[in-house]
Amino acid sequence: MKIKDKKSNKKYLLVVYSLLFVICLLYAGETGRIVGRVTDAQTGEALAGVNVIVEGTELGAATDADGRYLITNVPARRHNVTASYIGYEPVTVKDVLVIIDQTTTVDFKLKPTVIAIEKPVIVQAEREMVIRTAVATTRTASAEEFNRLPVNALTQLVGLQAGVRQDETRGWTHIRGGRYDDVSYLIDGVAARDAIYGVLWSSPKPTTEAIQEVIVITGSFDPEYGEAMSGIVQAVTKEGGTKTSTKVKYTTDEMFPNDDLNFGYNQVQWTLGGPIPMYNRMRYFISTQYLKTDDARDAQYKLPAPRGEYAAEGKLTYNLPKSLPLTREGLKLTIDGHHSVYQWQAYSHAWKYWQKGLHANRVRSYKANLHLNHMVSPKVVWTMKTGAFNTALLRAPRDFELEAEDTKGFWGTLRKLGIWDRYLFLGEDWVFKNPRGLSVKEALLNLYQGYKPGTMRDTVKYQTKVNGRDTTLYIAGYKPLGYYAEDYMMNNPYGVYGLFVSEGYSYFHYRTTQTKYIKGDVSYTPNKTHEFKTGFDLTQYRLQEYTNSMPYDPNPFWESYDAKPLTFATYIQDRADFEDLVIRGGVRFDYLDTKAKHRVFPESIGGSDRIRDSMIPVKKKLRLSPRLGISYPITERIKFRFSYGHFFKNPTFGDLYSSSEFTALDITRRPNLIAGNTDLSAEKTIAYEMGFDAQLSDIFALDLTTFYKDVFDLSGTRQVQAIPSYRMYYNVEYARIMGAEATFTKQLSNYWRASASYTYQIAKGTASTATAEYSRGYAVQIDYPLDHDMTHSASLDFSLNFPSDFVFIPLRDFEGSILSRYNSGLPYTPTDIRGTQTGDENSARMPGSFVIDSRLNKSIRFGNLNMSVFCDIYNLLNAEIVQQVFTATGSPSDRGRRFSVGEFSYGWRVGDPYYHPARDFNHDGYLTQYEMYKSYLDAYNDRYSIPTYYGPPRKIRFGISLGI
Amino acid sequence: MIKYKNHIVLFIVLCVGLFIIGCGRMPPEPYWNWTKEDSTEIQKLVNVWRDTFKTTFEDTVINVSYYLESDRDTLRKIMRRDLRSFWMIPHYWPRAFRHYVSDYQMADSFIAVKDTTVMVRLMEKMVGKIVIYTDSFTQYLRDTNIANNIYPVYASTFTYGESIVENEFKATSVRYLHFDKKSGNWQLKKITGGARIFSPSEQDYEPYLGLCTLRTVTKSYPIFLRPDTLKYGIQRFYELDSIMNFPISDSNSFTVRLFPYEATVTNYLGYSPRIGLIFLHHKGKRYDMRIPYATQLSLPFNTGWNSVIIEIVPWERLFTRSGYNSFMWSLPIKIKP
Repeated sequence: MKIKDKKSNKKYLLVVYSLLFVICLLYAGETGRIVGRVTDAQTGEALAGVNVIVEGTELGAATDADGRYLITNVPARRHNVTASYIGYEPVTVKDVLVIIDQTTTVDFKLKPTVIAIEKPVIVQAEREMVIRTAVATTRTASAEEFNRLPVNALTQLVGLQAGVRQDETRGWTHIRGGRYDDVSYLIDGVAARDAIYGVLWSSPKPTTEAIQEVIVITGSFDPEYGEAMSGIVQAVTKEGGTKTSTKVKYTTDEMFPNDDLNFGYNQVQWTLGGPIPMYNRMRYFISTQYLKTDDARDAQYKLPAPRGEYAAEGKLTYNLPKSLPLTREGLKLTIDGHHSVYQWQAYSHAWKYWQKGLHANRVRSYKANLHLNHMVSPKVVWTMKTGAFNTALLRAPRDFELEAEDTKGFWGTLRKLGIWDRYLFLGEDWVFKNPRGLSVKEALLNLYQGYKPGTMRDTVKYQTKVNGRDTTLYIAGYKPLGYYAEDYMMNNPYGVYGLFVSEGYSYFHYRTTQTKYIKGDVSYTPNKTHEFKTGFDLTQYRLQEYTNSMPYDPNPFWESYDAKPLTFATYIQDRADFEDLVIRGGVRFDYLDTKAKHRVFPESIGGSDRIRDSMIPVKKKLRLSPRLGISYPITERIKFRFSYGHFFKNPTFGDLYSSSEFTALDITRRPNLIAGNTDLSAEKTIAYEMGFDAQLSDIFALDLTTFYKDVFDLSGTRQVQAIPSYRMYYNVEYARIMGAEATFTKQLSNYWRASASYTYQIAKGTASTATAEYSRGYAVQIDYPLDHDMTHSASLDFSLNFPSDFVFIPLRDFEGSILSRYNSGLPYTPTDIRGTQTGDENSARMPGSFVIDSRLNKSIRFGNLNMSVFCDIYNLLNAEIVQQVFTATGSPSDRGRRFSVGEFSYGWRVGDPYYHPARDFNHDGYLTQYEMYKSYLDAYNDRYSIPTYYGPPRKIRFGISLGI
Repeated sequence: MIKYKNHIVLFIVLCVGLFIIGCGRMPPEPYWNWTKEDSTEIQKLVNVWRDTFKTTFEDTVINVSYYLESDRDTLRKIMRRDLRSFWMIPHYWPRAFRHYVSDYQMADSFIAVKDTTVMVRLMEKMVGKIVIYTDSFTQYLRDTNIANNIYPVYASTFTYGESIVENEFKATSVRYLHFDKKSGNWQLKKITGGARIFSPSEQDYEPYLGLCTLRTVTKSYPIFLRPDTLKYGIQRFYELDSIMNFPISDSNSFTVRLFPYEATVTNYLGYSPRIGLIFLHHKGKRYDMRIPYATQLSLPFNTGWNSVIIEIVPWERLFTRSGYNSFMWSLPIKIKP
């Protein structure tokens, strides 16, 4: 297409830009830069005008008079970079790794030649072991790590990085001693986190095979990143390549005959990507993942805690033709979408014999993004992104009767085939397909009307106020301990009451995070030294949370809110690379409009009508955070770095909005309530970091880092001096974290590679979580070691890699890795058997753990077909990993309570309320004191042999992958 | 050495493989839980034994019409005397009872125990009506004098046999059985000392009967509702052969003495002044145990299984506007030839 004149050109531009803004077809791939110098291999002289191109893209640059070049806006992944010049042999450097926001250096030395050579000389890229432009600790892991290491999920890979602790029990990620909700979680630059509670486990994750690169920034970060204080986890997903490729991967442990190794684990992954046929400019990438396992709890042994996942995502990229004036330098449009469902059954040892009453969970997520990346000129790149993200968590007990009947239709067929057991929840139809036309909120608050006959006992009405209106809650009538043992508390193999939950249901909880966002940025690179960048981020949330107790709670814990906060952020930053000094500085401005009201007199809830519910709108929150980072490369391979920053993060929205719709009267009815505080300010961290990175040789590198963080205004609860008193969230907690990290890396050479890291850390503060004071019952004024304060952690990753021309044929294309980790014990507060504290807060430590995981991988190539068989072994030594202990003994197996026969009442006869045949060992219809004692002791030992206090045993999985 | 290199590698791989496999951690062995087959088998046995209980132990006695075996004049005397204590509330005094049971519902429940035994609660819910043929009630003014009446009349009196009172009747019979599979097949091993019949429902423990004795000329056998390990009673399990049995040589005639107590489960020792009526069912007859104002009666027993059903009704049930409730024991007694 030819543009005839300037007028039509402008029109064209106007139309295109308007279209882009109006329909928000905006996205930017996450990018980095490539710089380098091209010299004559013989003379060492700089070569000017050499073409350097990034293969598979339309990016490239020509060297200047000094032989230097700069290519900006390079997608973060591995690339082949080729330099060609007339009279010289072209050279291609293979597998150049480009990291988001960082600069990769690729130098070329071209040999002169007298004949024209078209086929370039291939050179393997030497990975820069020191990221010269990184001013803070930045860990990267590429897609290859998933093939090399025994990990199969993004969070596992993140957890391997120094300074990161993955709490598998609760699904929390702690970075450098921060709280679990201090981490920002981005997929292709877009936040993808359950905004209400800030946890990753209820957020959608990219499929493993779709991950191109993972960046974990554990130090300070640039102003363009917000809503985080501890670190940034950024995943970049794959795009379709220049050739069509596909891969199928299957992992299982079902071949083992016994429950010691057979966890019913089955994972299938499939990817397909490439150019659209006949049109290479448009590329697609599809990735799907399916997982089914009988036990996802990773406890001491196999538990009935099944989990199922399916996810599908796709990405369509379109590099517009360069023939258009607007796209001369490159304009890329990307559309991507994601849908996933995760469902899993909770396990609680107290509910061991009444599993059907315990809740299960389902997370259903949808995402759609439209991204635009436009290189206006080699110096100016702007990107825009817009999209929507919706994730919903439903937590309730399953309706097993309904599931048994669900055998027809698509889902019923999948159930019959054992592929997918779609969870159907008690009360789900009532809440979401209400026959009376009630809204979700109304139906949930009147949940008990929705029970099927026979699944609940007689209901009683419970009057309460919702939004100031009288509302009727229907609560199942409580039936006291009655005549027949099997109906009540003794429904366990021991016939003992009071130890195991044996009736009732947990609760119904539903929450959604709906996000619509638009963000954009412009980077301007006036020269090879500076890169200015400015941008904005506007996000509109809709957060809904509804909770209600299930039967047997006369005063239900209900929750209901529908909030629509709005956040806006803008920033400006400069990444200045003076070669011997890298400075990254800038400032970020954040704005929060909670669109809510707050109670003027929270301490007067017992006052008159005028005072107690007197509300005023919450003021808009504004804040400014400066950031500065300096890297001082002494040589190309050694650098010092320093960074300093102020980081703000809003408390998780749950702390703001929980119970925000409660009237004062509602609060008085719930004395153990934690009221949300819509007027909470942002939490603040001031972080300092100093580091020393050194590449000791071509294959060895070392980095040392020390850090210090002051964390202020953390969300925490305090008692409101009202009558009756209750608790509310305030910005009252504080933490102080310091530590040091050391990492030693050896690149692959002589068939082996290794990486060792060690972290020393002290994380002290006044509350480990926002609800710590509530759980404890009192506030702590003196810093104490936080629950996640892991003093020492160390890891060693050792791999053997044999190439396809290795002398010993069976080992050709064989890779074996061993990943060993040591973690010192976490703190706990010692108590006596009655729970009375006997030492300072968190003054005792649990035992540490040492775990070795391994992966063995053998690849075989048949023409274009690449087949791999692999074996993952987790906890190779079958070590006992202690995750929790009894506070009276410090042991995971001994609660410390001792019994004597004389403590037990006796004399119950058959037909009495407390008689149970399981306690009657000789079945004479009479319970003696010894029978009471012995049966209780058996039950007690079972109740407090809690498998979830331990980490997983040895697990072995085999897999095969086929790819073209 | 090179010759054996592959063998060595294979050997090492094999050793590592053997070390790894079989060294996981097994979950605890799950406790035995019954299967559908167990359930079906036990249900079959239960049905067999239910019929046996009905025919042998005469549990169906409740559905038969009983006329009180009593003396009219004595009855009137007792009635007048008792009514002095409760003169302010209208009463009736039954002369004949009849239960009409219109519907039975079996509600058996099984409790499986980890030692491969099952306790079955054999429950039968009965619904119907109870018809009571009574003296009619006449209310006089206070201190009315009637000529030729040797007893003083207060506010009320009865005229002999002129009213029929119908009341709703609900009752639940409960008996416990103990099955064992240790020999390979399910077998009934033990039963409780007798069934208990609660009216109107099993939740109602009152009135309460704590003890009765069977007396021969020379011996006395106490039967407790809640026996300990030494005593015989209702709420205990007995092997089928050791259920209450007596040799024919001992006696074929027992005197039944009853000790009714008012009680809840946790307080069963106090004598109840609230026990109004006590009946004894035996061989199709219903005896009023308060005649001659003593809670004992001599009954002839035959060789084999005999059944004695004791029914007690509280005073309140004699109020004309009250519902009906009662508590019964069904005692199986075996007389050996």
